Amino acid sequence: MSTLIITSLNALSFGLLLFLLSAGLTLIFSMMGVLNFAHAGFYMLGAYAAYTLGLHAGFFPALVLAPLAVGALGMLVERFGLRKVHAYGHVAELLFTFGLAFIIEELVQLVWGKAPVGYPVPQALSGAAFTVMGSPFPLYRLFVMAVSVGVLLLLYLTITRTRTGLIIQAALTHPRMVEALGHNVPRVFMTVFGVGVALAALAGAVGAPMSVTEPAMAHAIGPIVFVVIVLGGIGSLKGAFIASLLLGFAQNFAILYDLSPYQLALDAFGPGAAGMLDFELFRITIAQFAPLLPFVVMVLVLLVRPQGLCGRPGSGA
Amino acid sequence: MKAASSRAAGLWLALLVSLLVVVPLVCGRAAVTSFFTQAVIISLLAMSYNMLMGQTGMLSFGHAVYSGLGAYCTIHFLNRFTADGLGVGIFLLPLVGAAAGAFFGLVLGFVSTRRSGIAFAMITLGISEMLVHLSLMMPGWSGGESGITTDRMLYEPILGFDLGSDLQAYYYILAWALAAVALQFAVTRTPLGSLANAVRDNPERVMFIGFNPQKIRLFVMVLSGMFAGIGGSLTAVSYEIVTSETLGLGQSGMLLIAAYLGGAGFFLGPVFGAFVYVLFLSVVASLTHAWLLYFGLLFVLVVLFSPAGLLPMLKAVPGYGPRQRLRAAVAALMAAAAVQFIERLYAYLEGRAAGSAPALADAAPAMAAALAVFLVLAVALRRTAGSGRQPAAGAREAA
Repeated sequence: MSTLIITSLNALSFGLLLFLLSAGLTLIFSMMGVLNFAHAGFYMLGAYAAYTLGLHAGFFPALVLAPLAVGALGMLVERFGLRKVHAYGHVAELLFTFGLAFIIEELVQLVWGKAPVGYPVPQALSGAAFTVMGSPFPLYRLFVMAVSVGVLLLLYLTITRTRTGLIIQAALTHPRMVEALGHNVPRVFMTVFGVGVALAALAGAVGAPMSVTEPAMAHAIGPIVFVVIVLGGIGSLKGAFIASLLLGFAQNFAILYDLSPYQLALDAFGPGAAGMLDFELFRITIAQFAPLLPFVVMVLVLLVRPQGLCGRPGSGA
Repeated sequence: MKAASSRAAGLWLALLVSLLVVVPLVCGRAAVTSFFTQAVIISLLAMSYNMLMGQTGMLSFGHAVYSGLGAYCTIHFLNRFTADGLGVGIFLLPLVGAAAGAFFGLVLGFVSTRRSGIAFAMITLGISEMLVHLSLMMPGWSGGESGITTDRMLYEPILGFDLGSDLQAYYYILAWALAAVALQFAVTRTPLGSLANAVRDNPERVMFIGFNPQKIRLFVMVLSGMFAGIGGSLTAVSYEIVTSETLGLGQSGMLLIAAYLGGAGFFLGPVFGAFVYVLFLSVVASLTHAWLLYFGLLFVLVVLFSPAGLLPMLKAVPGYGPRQRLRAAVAALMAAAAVQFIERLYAYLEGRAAGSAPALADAAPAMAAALAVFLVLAVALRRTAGSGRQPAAGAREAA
């Protein structure tokens, strides 16, 4: 029982972090039609920037400064790169960000080296938050959940309740009309791109202490984020939210089951029947299978619903 | 006009093929042979990739899956029967890769081609990640990170041919690659080739004339998987090893970049891109550790400034006057300044990592100078920009 609760909480914290990451990507996509392949690269830059700034300014100021710095970089990228490529169409934009992801990875290796850097959980946030029937739940995970929920709530309120949010929403569907009303639409796009990138950087800054900060971290999370947005239906924030939590739970619960099809058959029918399943593929346990789950879930869902969970059917993207 | 241009293309092709045949033989140096072997294989792979990207408008991030699985199947086949056990069959070995590539193209394409555009791109990425993880979980089959090895050599030569030397392997690979490319060219001339172009340009109209774009995409996927599988077999024959890494995004990305760099709109564009890549891999990499960074920068610059690829730059552009020549010279100077900056930075950071005294004061002035030159030239280039620039604000409205 306690395992169940702790695992659920772990799944929730991972899912929320994943949503923080995919929310920025979805926001940028639904606004500009740009799938930012370098999103995971900005996530990594956020983690490294927070690490370096944290050495000088302390952990908590770095948590604010790093996303701001990386977000500003994102705005520069939009202003001097994406805006030019935009005229060539969406594929060129995707290729541009693909090249950017490549360059970010090389630059990170250049500046911070190939080995992982030590970016640990700060003293104030280490230890257990509470215990569930004897099993501790780490305080830091609670902190990550709080940050994710807080930032996402703030984002939601900004978009739905403020004048800026109204302009952004209007620019999304009627860019020409908004421009005719005297708003600088390219600047709105630049800002949205910067905010989306800053969200990724924030996810990196708060998320990295839970795992390893190394040049391979972008590649480790990137495909999973793309699975989230395809699974949820590209451009749908609600879909991304559901998909993030789904993947969070799937991965965290899979680790609990140390069973393989071969082992199951052995237990149920004895060695004779199990012999038919005695292949390497069927000896993989569900726990070992966890890193693969996001991709398997994606394939299965797409077979039934090609547009994703919350996507509109026939939307070209 | 058309006949003349195709005659010119034929001339270039004849020149290219004769260079591919003659140079490694005349040079006789191991490095040259290995350069050409690599370039030929990557050319074939990039061309099979371009069937998707250039000819059908399908941007895939998982093409290495087909070449990688082709290579795996080839090596398993070779290990089970040994080269000598195959006898003359060794000459048909790439058919194993072709069958594997086509089979996986059909199975995986069934899932991925249900979507087009960006969703297709993301699904191919997901599938390739899935297979990399799966292959790492099955070390008995894939050999994991260290991979599985084989031996291509025939112990009883057939007509003096035992695949023992790298030069023999090169001609074996070249012959297969040329045959595959000829077949690819034939495909572009069939109705399927035209339909593929139509699916790229306007899938809706394809539906109106009574074809299912999804089926055409799947068909092209199977064919391109088959050619990638042949390329995978040739990789296996050349290196006699295959690892899980060959299935992954790194490899797929290289094929994408090679195809795009050369020019995805040209049949032989990917070949040019592949040679540029192998040039970086073998020559630039021996000069500087930052070669991947330069390669990435080159790719981004081509996306920004020459979306049709590098190949059209070789032709004289109409309206290319002294003003443009001056601007090109300024751009070249900027590139030199950027390289200077990156090299200094690299040298400094590597010195620091190695523990030798960090002489930032020594490196800083040169770096600052390079950066200043770069920025001044960038501003100059922007100021002198003529009517060629895109209007920034209006461009958005297409979204």
